[in-house]
Amino acid sequence: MIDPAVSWLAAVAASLIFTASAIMKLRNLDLFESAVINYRILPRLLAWPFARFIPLAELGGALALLWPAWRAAGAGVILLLLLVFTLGIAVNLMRGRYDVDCGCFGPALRQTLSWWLVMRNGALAALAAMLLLRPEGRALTMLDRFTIVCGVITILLLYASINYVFANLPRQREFGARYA
Amino acid sequence: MLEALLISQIVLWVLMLALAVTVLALLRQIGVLHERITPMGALTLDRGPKEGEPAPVFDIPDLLGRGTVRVGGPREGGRSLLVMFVAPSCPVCKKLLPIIRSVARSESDWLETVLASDGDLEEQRRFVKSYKLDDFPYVLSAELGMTYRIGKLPYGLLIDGGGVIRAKGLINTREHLESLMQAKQMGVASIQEYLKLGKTGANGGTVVAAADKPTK
Repeated sequence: MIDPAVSWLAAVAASLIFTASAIMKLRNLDLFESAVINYRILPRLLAWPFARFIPLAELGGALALLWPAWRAAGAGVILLLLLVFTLGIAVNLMRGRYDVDCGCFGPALRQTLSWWLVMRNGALAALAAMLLLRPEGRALTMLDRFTIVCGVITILLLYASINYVFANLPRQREFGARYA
Repeated sequence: MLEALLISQIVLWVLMLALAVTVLALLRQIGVLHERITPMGALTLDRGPKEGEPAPVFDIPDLLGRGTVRVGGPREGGRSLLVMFVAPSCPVCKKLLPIIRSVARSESDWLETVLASDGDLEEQRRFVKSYKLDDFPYVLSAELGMTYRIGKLPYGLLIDGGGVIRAKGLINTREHLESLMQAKQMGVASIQEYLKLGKTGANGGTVVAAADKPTK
């Protein structure tokens, strides 16, 4: 049981984040495929179908979140994807490979692997896990709609902000090393 | 009372949104600032043989069995040699390959281009085949990479006709690659040295102003 306003807030925010991620992967499929190969987990032959399947599954899951009847199923797909991503990242971090491009958002926001990505995926998984719960039957009021719209925009802005902070981190370190 | 709460809720949301927008704008500005102060040319990591020093001589057999390739030492005809370090596992290298090809073609009157890599033989053969790299000499040598302390790829190394290292650095874009050529033509070893000259020069311009110049 979860309040419908909270459910909608989480659903729309998660849906927009994963739709954006899927679209950026689909627009740069070659780069994403290279990123998949570079994770050095899948055999090369599987990288081609995998690189095409992942963004489509992402898009499907993200869209399903927007229909209450499909919401739990969509959340399940998103959770599974997050598990796969996080495993891939964690395995490479444990191999000591920090210089790998994560392939998360295409070339627009190139990030290398770090434990912060694992934390970020954890937070996204928490968001998706809320959507496995059935919304409690309360009609949405005008104020609820207002809360949902403002809340979604705030979540997206903060999500982008946090991504910027961590995308800037390696440059910050490089800068410190260069002029120290 | 309920009306007051409602108003307060709306006011808080509006302020919250404004705050979030401000934070995002601020962080973007930090990102842009970083881009401005990062050297625009190939980044030289200060390790391995230095610019201006003679390049150590290596004779490495070509991957496709087309004789041996000599890296370093004086060259007949006085043509310069560009050694590009690439690898099948590096996505940026794949993006850079067409650029290397076009630069190699347009500068072919004074420049020879060699691709260098290291690692599994079969994987390298596949790489050469799928990206049609057979018009370049392609050498595999762990020793070469170790001598020049290549850490990050793609990495470019420019040796002049006399066998002296002229420029080297991490290459991510066409601009970086062209900056290597420019560094040689201007007689400066790297963008960092150019910046140093700019800083201590008579005009003593700021670092940012000096960093802008080579790209124009």
